[in-house]
Amino acid sequence: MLDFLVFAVTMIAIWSVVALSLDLQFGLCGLVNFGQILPFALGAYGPAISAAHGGSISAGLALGLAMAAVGGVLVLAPVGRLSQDYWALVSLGASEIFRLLMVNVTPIAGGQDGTAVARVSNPLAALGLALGLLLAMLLLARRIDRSPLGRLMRVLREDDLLVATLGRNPFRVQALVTVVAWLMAALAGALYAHVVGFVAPSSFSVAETFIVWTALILGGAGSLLGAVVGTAFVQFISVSTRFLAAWSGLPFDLVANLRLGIFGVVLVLVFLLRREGLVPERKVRVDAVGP
Amino acid sequence: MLQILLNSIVYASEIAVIAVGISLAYSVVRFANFAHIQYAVLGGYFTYAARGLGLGFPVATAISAVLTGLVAIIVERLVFHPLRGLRPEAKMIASWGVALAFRSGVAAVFGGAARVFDVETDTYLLGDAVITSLDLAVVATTIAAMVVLQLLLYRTRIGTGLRALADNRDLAATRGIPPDRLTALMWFLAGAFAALGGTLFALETRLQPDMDLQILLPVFAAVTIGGLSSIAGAVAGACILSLAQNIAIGVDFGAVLSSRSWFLPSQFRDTIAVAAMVLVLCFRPRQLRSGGVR
Amino acid sequence: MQRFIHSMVGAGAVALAFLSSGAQAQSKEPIPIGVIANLTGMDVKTSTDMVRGIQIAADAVNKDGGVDGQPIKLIIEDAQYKTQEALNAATKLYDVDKVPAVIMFGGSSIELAVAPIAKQKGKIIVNTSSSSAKLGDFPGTVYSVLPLDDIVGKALGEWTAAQGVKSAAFVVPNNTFGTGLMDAAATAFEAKGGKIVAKIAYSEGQPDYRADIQQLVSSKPDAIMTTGYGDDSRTIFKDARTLGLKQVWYAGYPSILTVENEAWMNGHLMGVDNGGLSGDVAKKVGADYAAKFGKEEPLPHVFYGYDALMLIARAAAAPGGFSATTMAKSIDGYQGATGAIKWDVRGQRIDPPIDVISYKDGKFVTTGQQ
Repeated sequence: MLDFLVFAVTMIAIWSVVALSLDLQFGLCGLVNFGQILPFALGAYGPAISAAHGGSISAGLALGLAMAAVGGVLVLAPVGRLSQDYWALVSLGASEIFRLLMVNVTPIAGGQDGTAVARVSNPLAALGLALGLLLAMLLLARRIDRSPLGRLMRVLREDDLLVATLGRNPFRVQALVTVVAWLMAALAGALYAHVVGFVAPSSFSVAETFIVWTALILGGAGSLLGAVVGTAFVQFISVSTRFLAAWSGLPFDLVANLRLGIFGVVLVLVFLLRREGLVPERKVRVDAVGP
Repeated sequence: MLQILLNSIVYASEIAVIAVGISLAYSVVRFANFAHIQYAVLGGYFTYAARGLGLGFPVATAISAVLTGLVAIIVERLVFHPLRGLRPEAKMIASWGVALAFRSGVAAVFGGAARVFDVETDTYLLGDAVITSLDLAVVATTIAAMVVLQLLLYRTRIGTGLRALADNRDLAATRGIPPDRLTALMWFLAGAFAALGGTLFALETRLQPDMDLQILLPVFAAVTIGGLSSIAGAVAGACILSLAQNIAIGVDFGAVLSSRSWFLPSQFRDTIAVAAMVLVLCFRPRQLRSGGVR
Repeated sequence: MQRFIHSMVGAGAVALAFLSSGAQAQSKEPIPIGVIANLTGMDVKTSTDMVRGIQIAADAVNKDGGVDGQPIKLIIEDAQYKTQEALNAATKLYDVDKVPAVIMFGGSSIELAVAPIAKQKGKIIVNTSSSSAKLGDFPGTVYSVLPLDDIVGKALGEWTAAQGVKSAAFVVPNNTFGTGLMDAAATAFEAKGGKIVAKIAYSEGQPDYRADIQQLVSSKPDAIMTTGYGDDSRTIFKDARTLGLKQVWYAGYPSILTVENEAWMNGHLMGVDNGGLSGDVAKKVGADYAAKFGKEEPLPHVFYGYDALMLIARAAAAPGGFSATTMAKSIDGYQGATGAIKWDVRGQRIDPPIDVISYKDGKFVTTGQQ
């Protein structure tokens, strides 16, 4: 029982970092990233590419982070020219281009079948690393959230023109947030690769992006704790329905499909019934101080 | 070369019928509806189920279109209408939730394995190019559907109302056009076209619950290239995209450069669709910031 | 007070008797066996059929009184063709359900991820579908009932050359299974003087393969060598038919291909397959399948799933109970739905009986052994 719980909590911690990263982009900055799985995938493919070509673990980590930082800026580049719904499609497209490349160009990292990477074989060590990463990223995100930059981001979310009239360049704020957020997700991806021990394209599909979105919306966009709570809830649904499946006695294939359907239903219900999420964003009140 | 052109026309037809529904919905409710792809899948399955009752293709497809149209109205009443005050991004995310629920529902009812329509096709040769009777039927149906849609939008009172609603919702309301009823009608049309497109797609390929991912990228790429809210743009987008894809995978690039034959592997088809979309968005001269063409 | 105690004791005794009788009626504690398959996402049909094969085998074992009176209880988990979900499923099965063995269906991204964990915990994996040679890196943990691709690939290349075919084009799925078989077959075919004119490795799950088939048409081969699974192979055949291809298809594992048009394929599809599928056990399993799941044509994965569970049951029934040692010996004297099974030291299936199969009048017939 213990190993099972340990693995489940490890996954919650890793995916929480991904949700936190999306929270910085969307919750605080208003960037509708429909390709959130991309920075995570880039982070995971760093170790995978390194392993496939005989590189070291640290080289893999560095490669993953570098790809995420560059990728973030590239994907963000057209954001100024587009409204958010168009940009959402660009980010979704970018994540799929990467996944399709990994599927179809076998020499990069094993194609569809993927690549084995060094695995953290002690489950408790993996858990410790994941919780450590989550804690560090929570502190970092909190720091950004409460800083003048965080306030500027919230202004940007509501009205980018206002940011421009304040004498700030909206794109530079967005670029800074994107690079930080993508590095966070890439770190989570690299850790994921080493915890799971195997990197294959099927782990980084559009569906994964929307599971992160479900977690964020459920937890409450704009609230850092919400990202963690939402992820925990989503992973809990995913894991606990395995037990319900056995108990229900329904045919195995029917149960498997119903399990996945729950995510969609949860996402819609949150929108309809509790739009602010489980942990609503705290209202920041800033009074003008002095001249 | 003729073969590439023929393949492009057939594929563009499959995509276009689905794509116009997204544009139609976008022009009125101003968000990109991901659940639309599921309407297409659902429509394919409805047609399959109706065929299973022994009905002919035209009747089965018509029933499927009506049912899917009704489903689209129900989703509007239950989900999108209550959310109408939210930003388009929020509705997009919610529409993904709807899509996910539908996808699992379809798989739960019809099973995860693929299903195939039984169609007997004849093959015709045009020089060294091949086209089947099914291809011809698909293209003809698509053209007919487009003509009907065009007449509906530009030759009827309902169409005028819909276009007025798309141009300016508030103004339309002050002119006495009932916006809620018209919106419902729009959803019905979008759902029905999705069902038709999904059926055509499934006829040429196969039905399976995860076919949504095969449809999603090319259809959204086509709609985006055409400018999201323009129906003619969606059709043009489908044609451009299909041509680009088929040229990329159909031309023997190796023979052009050397004596050895080399083709781009066909699995890059979707990559090309997405790349075309991203490129068009990034380098389009027109400003798209205010949420599409008005 | 004393009366009260008496009545309590009495009630307790009744309850105890009731409980123990209940336990007796349930016979002994069941043996839990795990199954991990892709019940959603990709390869659903093949996964589902494998699970059905396992269920047929479990029913057969339990009907005969189970393993020394203990019934087999299957716990079936979905891997969604995703590494993380496969690991979730595996840790649940091993840690919570305490299964000694898991039967797995999945690509190498599923099985190679679970294998180290099974090894760490001293548990067993029976592989029914992945033919990655790397699975051999876990001797004592992973046992394959599916033979390695290069064996069937080599047989295919040699046999095709022996049919007088001079030039051939390949159409295979772009994964370890497809390309592995293709490479082995191509080497064997060329060694016998054949010429390969095109190698097409298609990506699974595409809506159509016209462009791939058109490339094949332009290379004008004498024959086509192929392998692949259900739905994709059906689409390939459909596109080949509509594009007017007339060549004969020589296939590795023809029985896992799905024929799209009976008349067009009649006499145009043949190849080498893992033998035994024409045997008595397979016939009985096929009949059980029809009785339990209706008229759907069973895929060969049914038989691999069946053999996987039967071997586990044999290992559990052996003196000393289920262990890596009894698992390794479970094949001794076993005649399964896929024929006799032989493992090398790495737990990989070698020397499978090879049948020559032809497609005639709507069904596959075994025309000989190789």
